[in-house]
Amino acid sequence: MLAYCLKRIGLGVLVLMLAISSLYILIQAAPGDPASAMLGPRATPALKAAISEKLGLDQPMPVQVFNYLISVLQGDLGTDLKSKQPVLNTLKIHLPRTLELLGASVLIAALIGIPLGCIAAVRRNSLFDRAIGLLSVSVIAVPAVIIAIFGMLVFAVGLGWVPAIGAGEEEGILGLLHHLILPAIAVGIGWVGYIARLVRASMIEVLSTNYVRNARAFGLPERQIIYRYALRIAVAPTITVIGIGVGVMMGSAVFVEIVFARPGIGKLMYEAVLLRNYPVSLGAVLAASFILIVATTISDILNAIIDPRFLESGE
Amino acid sequence: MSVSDTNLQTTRGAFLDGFLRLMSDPMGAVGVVLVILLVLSAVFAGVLSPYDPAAIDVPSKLQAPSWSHWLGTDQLGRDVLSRALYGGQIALSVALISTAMAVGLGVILGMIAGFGPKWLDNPIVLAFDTVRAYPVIILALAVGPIFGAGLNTVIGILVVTSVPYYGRIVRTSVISASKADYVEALMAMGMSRARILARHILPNIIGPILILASMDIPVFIAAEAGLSFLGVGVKPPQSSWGLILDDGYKFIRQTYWLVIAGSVPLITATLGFTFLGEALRDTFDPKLRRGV
Amino acid sequence: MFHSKISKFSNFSQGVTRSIAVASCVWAMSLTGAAAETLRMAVPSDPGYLDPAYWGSTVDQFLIDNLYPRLAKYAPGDEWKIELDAAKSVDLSDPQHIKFELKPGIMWSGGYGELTAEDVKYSYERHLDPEMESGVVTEYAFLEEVEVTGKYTGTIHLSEPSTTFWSSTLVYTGGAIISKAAAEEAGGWFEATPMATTGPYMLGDFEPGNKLVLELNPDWTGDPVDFDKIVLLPIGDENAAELAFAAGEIDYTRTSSGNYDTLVANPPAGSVIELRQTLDPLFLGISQTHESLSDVRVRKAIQLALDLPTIIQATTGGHGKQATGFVAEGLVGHRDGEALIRDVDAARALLAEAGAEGLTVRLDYTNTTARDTAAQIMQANLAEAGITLELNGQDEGTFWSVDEIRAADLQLHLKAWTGNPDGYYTMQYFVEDQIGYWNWEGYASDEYVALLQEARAATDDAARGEIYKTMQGMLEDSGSFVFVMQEPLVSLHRDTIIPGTLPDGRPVFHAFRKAN
Repeated sequence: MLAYCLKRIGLGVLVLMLAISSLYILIQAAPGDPASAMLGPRATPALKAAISEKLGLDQPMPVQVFNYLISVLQGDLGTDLKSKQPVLNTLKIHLPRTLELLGASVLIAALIGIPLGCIAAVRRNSLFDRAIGLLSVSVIAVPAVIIAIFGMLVFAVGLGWVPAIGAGEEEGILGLLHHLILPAIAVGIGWVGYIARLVRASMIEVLSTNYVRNARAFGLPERQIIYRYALRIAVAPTITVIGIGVGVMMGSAVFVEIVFARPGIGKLMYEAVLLRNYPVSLGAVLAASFILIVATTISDILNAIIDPRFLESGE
Repeated sequence: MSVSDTNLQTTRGAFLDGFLRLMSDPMGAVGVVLVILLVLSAVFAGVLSPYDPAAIDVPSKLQAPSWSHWLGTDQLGRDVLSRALYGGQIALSVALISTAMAVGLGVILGMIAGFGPKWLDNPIVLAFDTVRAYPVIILALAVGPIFGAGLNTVIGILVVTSVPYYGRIVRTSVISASKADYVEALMAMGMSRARILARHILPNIIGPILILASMDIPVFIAAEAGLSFLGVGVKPPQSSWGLILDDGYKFIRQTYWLVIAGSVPLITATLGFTFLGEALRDTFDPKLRRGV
Repeated sequence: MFHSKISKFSNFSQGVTRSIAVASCVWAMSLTGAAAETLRMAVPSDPGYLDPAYWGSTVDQFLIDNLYPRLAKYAPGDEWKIELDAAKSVDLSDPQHIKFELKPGIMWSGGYGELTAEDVKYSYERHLDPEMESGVVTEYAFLEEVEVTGKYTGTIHLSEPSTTFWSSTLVYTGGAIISKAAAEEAGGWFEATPMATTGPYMLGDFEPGNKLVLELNPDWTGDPVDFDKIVLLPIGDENAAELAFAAGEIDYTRTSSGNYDTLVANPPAGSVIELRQTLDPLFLGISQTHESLSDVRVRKAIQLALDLPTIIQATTGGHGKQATGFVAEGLVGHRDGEALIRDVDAARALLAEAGAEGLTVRLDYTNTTARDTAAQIMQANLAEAGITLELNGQDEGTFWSVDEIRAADLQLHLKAWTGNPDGYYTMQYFVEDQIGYWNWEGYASDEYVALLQEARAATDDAARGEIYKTMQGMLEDSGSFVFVMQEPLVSLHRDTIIPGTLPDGRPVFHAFRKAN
């Protein structure tokens, strides 16, 4: 088990390294010279050469990639070309906002999805079950950008219940939550359907086991069987799909951050790309990939703990 | 994942039978109808559109729906219905081309990894994992402007990011299929690996892959709209549901019709294809259900 | 003494009455959380360069205008007039030798001491240093030297008499005075790094893409201000800014005049909406330095193919008026009734004559809703004449920053410059030395340069105005310029504040007041 965990973490680190390196090469190969972008109107050949040397852009590509990886490992993500601040500082401003958003979305998805799935399983094949089934498929299918825009149209512009813009960093915890609620729902709603379906499926499986049948035979109240035993077992698989979930939600978060002008990795990325501010775009992709890899690694390890068969197949 | 024998190359009777089973599932029937409507409207966009989708008529800008403009007009006075119909062409072609290419490449790479030379397996899997380490939209944002916004870039990004998904599934199926006795027997008889793959393994695994692919079409449609919304996808004067949505977002304080006009076809398309994909899977290969 | 001198220069703007339509509505509204002492304002982007030598974007200009002292500057209010700033007095009686005396006791922030005549000398003369590659070198081309005659006094010597040096350079953004000590400490030039400034506000927290905070300057001894803090939020699109305003997130913003009628019909709660006529010329530049646009017939074809009245109707909702040149109506040098008229057939004929059928060109513009609307109409207009227009919307920062790669690649560019009441300010930039910097059109003409010199020396407004008219005619005839309009803008603010702005709505931070 420990060996598997170590192997999985090692693989995660390797994949992250490869992901950063390939993106670094891709971005450097792009038209538009970073030194000119950095210097703007002052881009004389002499200054450009000096900057290129300072940034190590005159070195062969493998050396550049190696140097970049080394400095990343030392916690140095380079300097923002426009604001001249360390990229790490910029990330420190934006990353917590995205994590907040993802965390709140997962929470919302779980708080709504688990009960729905549970009820659907208990009332299997009822009208309610079918409605939940249809709803689950439907919310998964609707693109996040639409949910974000409609949320904005109805709840922010129309009803004025929640702010339309920003993250409310300066307004204390209540301000943060007030700004968070609509974006978090927009990101989390698709996942509600997913979780509901998973919980329903595993709940049905658990309810048909001998264990539960015995409990019934012994006259334990149905409520207790469902909530004490069955649900606890049935929820486990939902934790393990968090890896996929974070990836999907991060995509939704980009749209939500842009639509709600909310600081975060997605918005940062979007703006950095427009500005050809490559250290920031690299840093933002790095942060996003890091979150994703951590999430998939954790979910793989959880899977292995919960279901040892998983170890053998390696999938 | 076990090998399914319900591949799609069966006789005409079986196909009809499958279709009837699909239509007997309400979700499947709705999906089939929506998808057929969409395909027809996209194919005949030129005939159905009441106006040239690029024709500007500033005096009648930002109108609400009326008899002359069923979905109203945008900020340049263009007919939104016509733009939505042409947007459907773009959405469907992006989705179909991307899916075909992703499945094709995924199958080839997955088979090489699973049944090709042993030393190629690990690098291919590592490459798959590396690509999967990027969140799709974030990668698209980072890479899109490098290659310039446009249809080809959108398709390229969608293909690259979804190949690993198919590749890994194919690889796993190929590995388990190759352990079957008859494969070992064929190899012992001296049949080449490529021939075994093409003649015996591929037909067995392609069915489930195609079903999974049908479930990816709505994801691709949504991605094209999303990227166009962000300005790294389709560019004007071409039309796209994402562009209509973008206009709608910008003018959200002036009119909500644009947002509706952009999202209704998009939701219809993603729902239609999702329903169809779900029903296809339930009808032909229920085992896939747990895999998701 | 100073006032009698300066009145001559503000005369030409007195005729310009700024018609300000005020639509105000009072609703009970609650400001979501924003503390009363903080003023929140939307600006188009992050600042790029806070060095007066390199400023480019609108936000660079806002900040430079507000943070650095000048001898005199345009005063907040509804009319363009010049008031003294760091100078106690200025003697403009000799247009070749300007004498000034500074107010004593103006302190630089960050402990860089008192503002002296040495700072003035350093600030002006540094633009002449070829190593600096100052972006405003053209404005200083006729500066000989600044002679320091005392701690607070000096004389500005020009190589020839120039009345426009005062009105279009010294009192404008390029005339900003920086601290010699602070600049030298930074190695002579700086970018976004906060430097020594004067005035009630100084730079505070800067979170790129998120916000820029201006805080009270503890060394400030002048008039007190109403707000302890000003937060600038970069919101590129005017509709997004409007949405932020409606959501109560900002107190002041400028937005497109195309939205004016809808705003008045459906005003955000507690808002005051004002339509303002700016002096900012919106024009389409056509780079003659680009290979595919080097033939004047091709450029003229583009001029003739554009449907400007429709573009103006679509972007301003009919509140804008087609321009005839860089000089706005009512100002010295305005051309009457010479606006371009569309003629697609003539455009096609010109293209055929030049053998340029099937031309594809790229249009750069800042990516706001109004500009995008204009760009899409231009695309359709040019398509009718057989020209394919690729649209390249960029954010403010990228659009205005020109490095040599981009300078060589410029084709069509739709842009508004900030207007100065003296047309000389804009027109002085279309000279050979500015190619690669601000002369994106690549226009170069000896005759034009001679006229610029004549205009500088002209002390009579009417005579100068005639020269300006001729110059604008030359620019248009070159095919490289399409004058669209002097852009009207809408300013939007809470009824709880009284904004302090220039007549065109550009914010003057210290002049913002609370309404009581």
